[in-house]
Amino acid sequence: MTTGAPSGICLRGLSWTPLGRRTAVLDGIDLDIAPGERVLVTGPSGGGKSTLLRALAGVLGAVEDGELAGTVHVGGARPQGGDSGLLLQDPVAGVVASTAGRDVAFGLENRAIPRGELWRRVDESLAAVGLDIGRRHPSLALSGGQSQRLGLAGVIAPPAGLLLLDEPTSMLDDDAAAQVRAAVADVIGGRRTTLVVVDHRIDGWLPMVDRLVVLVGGRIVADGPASAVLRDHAADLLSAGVWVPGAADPPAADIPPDLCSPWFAHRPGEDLLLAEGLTVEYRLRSGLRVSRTPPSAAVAIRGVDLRVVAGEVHTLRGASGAGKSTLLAAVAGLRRPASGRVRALPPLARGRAPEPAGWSSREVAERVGWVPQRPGLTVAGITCRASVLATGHVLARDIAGRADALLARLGIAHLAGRHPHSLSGGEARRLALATAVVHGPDLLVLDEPTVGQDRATWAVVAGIARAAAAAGTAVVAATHDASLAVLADARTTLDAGRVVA
Amino acid sequence: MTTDIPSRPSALARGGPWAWRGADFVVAAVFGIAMGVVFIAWDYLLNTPWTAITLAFPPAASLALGVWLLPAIGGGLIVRRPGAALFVELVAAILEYLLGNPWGPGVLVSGLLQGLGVELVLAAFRWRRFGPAVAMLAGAASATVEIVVYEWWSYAAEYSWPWKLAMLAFAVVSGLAAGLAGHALVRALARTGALSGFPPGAEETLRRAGDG
Amino acid sequence: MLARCGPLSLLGASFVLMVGGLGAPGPAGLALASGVLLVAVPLTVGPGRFPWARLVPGLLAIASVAWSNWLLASPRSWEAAGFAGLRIGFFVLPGVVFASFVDPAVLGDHLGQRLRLPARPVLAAVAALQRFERFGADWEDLGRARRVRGLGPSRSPVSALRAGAAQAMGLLVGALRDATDSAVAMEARGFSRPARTGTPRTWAVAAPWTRADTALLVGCLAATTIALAGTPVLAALAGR
Repeated sequence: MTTGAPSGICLRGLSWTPLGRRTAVLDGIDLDIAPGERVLVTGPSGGGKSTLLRALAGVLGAVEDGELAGTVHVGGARPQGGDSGLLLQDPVAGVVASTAGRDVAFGLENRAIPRGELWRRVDESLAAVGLDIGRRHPSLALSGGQSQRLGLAGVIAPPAGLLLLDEPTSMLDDDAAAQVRAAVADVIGGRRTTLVVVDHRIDGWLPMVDRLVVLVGGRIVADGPASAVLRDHAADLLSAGVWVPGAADPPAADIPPDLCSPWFAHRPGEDLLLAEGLTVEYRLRSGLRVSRTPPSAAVAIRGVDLRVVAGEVHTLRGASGAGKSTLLAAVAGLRRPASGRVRALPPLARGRAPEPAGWSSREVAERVGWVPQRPGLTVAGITCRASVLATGHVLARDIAGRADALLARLGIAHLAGRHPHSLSGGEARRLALATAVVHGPDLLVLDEPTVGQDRATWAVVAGIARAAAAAGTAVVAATHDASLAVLADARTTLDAGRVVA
Repeated sequence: MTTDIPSRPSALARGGPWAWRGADFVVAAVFGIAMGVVFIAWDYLLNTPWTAITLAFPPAASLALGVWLLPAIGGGLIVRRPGAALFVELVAAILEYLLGNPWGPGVLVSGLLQGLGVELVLAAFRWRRFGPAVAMLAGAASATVEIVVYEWWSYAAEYSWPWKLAMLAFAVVSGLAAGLAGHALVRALARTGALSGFPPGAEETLRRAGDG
Repeated sequence: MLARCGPLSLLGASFVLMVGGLGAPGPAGLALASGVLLVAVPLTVGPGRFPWARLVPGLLAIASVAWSNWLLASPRSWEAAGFAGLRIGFFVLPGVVFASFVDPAVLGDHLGQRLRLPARPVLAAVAALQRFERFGADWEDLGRARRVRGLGPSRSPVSALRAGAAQAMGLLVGALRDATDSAVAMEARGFSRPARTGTPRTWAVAAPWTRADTALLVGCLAATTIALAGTPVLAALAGR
């Protein structure tokens, strides 16, 4: 458990330019944080927030090459990996061991904590984040919120004077996010730990922090007590895309429908596809496993009915693990039903078999666009532009003009020549959306399309969903985002694999 | 497209060859596991047809040896530090060992020797040259060490000398091909951006900057 | 019994048998030792603890070794060829059985603490072995993504091969990207700290050597001794 004296932070002229980029990600940052201070750093997607945290954690050059200038001091010394606790966005990336106990122990082992004290700290840390799963629980058989709390336990277990959180709730639903924030509040409550949180959803963190720093384009544009910054810089914050608490949601951006229209026109309101008594099961594989811990359990859906209508945005809601992604995949012909059926109606099937799961890859691509939960999955090419165009090539649909217009609307036109995998989380998701919509599918299936978006990019994502529907596409979106659900024409709520509303 | 490569010096590992970073181990190990999956796929799916094909002329079976050299060649070319080729090859061999394979613990011995063979060549160039020619040489050396030190005395113990030499020749040919293939694989990976933070990724970034 | 053995005795025993198989001077002792193993190893496995299909590649390998060592020997001899196959089978088959009882996490603990291998390569390898178990799910996810993008295989085998290769490349790229992220998370948790400061890391779980370990090693040493010494001893007995 963190018991070190809180560390102060001093940054002078900190700049970072990754190898091969012309513009700096951090551009001459000066920042002082007093020991024990709690600071929230916010700003638009791609503004340098994560890079700043990595610099504070001493892992900025750990993998990526780049040019570093200026000085960083934490607790009066140059930070090194392992001095502070850093919790990253993706809970799974940080998992290093197959059981919860071993995973939490990793940082303690590296700090040479003797075995007796080590396990005491492991147990205390698991308790502190509210996980009562036991040391031997498989570390990958956890829900998103549990997984992120396991990560937090591992981060607070070794002594450290500084806790750094990098959008730790951005991949979680509201309930799970609240659990993680509560765990953080508990953990820092009893101690004087310096805390730096990075997030562009700030409302949940405001009760925990004293100070708000706004980072835009690698520079600090506002810094002060949270209430003062919110009062004095509200307009700047809004224009920088920050989700300012209390401000109304931005309207969906006005996107020309012909950028998102389906290749084959549909009459708005006509049924395209029906799910009837749909049940999807996961088979647990036991074949090629090397370790002797049991495989994780999985969710499925049971007896689900769903109507997919041209010209409508239909949202699927429900807690993590309720079966939203599975339902989307089944509707898109990517998972075979165990019983019940998915039936494409004539306007969608266009002479093919009614079961999407039986279509060829090409037939699926003609009809369906999919934004998966992990947006990197649909990448197919070594530049963003090539990746967006790949399906159009296969289908011999000329979409180059649409692609460029969509990339521009989504604010990623300047990245068109870059590696698709080098984008930030929010950018990668927007690229996946462009990829899904650009070739004019009849059915657009979106899994958490608004995750990681600031206000400005959120408005464009929502606008594309609306414009696609306006042009006659059927849009089905699984989302935790209440603001997106407000814009929907139809809503379905799942709980434990069944439709409840 | 590749003709200008030899004229450019290879990008070197950051901080000098001996300064292993944590990320070098982590990424190299995952590359090793991925190559181990290729081994497993071969062992369970392709090994039987391959054995059947080469039944009439067993020395030709060594033409497949190159597949087993890819982790060492690729690992050495990606990380560019002493021991990288050996480490990646051993990780791949350990996965193959754990999941069952035709040669049991023999694959660990082979992995050690194949890794050392690549290390010998990379060390001779003091971890400064990583072009296709060096990769081919490393593949040939790796194949030679494997056959001469181990397979002649284990799997081919009763072969007459002409056949032992024929087996070596086929293995060396396979090793040369594996060198080329390993080099091509690393370049293809670099082009996807998966190796940013590693010397081949830096080479690719500079190449793009030069072209654009 | 094998379930109670640690990874080092399982590995060590495999190498001991390798010395016996490759070093055996003649078929008689090796056949005797193989007979002993054939009875003893199945008894140590325990019911339902080992997927016996994993022995198939090894059996094929033995057959192909025997065949090629007949075909390419000069002069050809079935006895010598059989001996060549037996030498391989002696260590391959028990080795495959033993290997299936090795848990990667436990192997890491033992390599780090008992053999005192450098911690970072050991930990990286263990983490990667655990990553391997997600490859199956990642492969399926990637297959879905390629299918929806129109890049999945059509019915022709050539296209299936191409699509498979592209998908494998996608899997490799994704795994390397994830590894990069994972490296940042591990470094932030002090992965390189012991190497930097010179203070060795501690290990949360001990790596004990048990009686089962000793028993396995002694048993395999005995089998190897028979394989090595059996032929001359039997010959001496027969000659008396």
